[in-house]
Amino acid sequence: MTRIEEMTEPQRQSWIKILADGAILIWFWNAMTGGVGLSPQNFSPAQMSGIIIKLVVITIILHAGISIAFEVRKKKERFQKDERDIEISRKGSQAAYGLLQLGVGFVIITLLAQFVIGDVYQGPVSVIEPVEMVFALCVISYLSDLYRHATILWAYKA
Amino acid sequence: MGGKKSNITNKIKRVRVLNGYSQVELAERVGATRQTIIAVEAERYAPSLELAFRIAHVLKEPIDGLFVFDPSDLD
Repeated sequence: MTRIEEMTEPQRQSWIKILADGAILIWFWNAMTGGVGLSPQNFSPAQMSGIIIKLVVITIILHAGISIAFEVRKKKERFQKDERDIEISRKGSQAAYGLLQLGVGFVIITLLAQFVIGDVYQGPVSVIEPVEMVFALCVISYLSDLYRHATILWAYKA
Repeated sequence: MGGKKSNITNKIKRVRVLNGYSQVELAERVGATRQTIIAVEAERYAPSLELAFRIAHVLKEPIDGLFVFDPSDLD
């Protein structure tokens, strides 16, 4: 594994962000499902809004904190980022976009299946209730971001 | 980058050392990060044409003296 001092700034940022996003996703999953399991608990609209607001606030604070920290400690090396970093970042974004599309497609198909066949639907995941749909879309969004950083880190390693 | 070995090999490390540049110095002169120079020298990353020309210019070598293309898999 590359030592921290040997990493480029974007590589370091990806490490910090994958850890931060991973922690947020674990917290969110726990808050919504009460532990393990694929289905969220039966929340009232107010409870669900509370969790979503917390999710947004925590995400903004963490990401702003990370960006500020990197901005403050910058300038040791003249070039923080070059064509290779940009190419790797593009690769990560493409991979994440692919996963995001798959995830959204999965939600649409599951929703259609539940809508069309109704009570006969026996799938492991349900997205027919607003709380279920919000949970699924938030998880897909965070998983895509984690996948983006994982792809970036893998490309640096290769 | 990323697993597949490039058909382009290079002599950058040898020429850089002969010219008395460190990786940091070469990186700064060509406008890249040191990590990119390390990856190019290790042939893990094939630089863009512009970066290749910049490196050749700084090391005062013709570009085809620094980079060698192996066309064997084109045949």
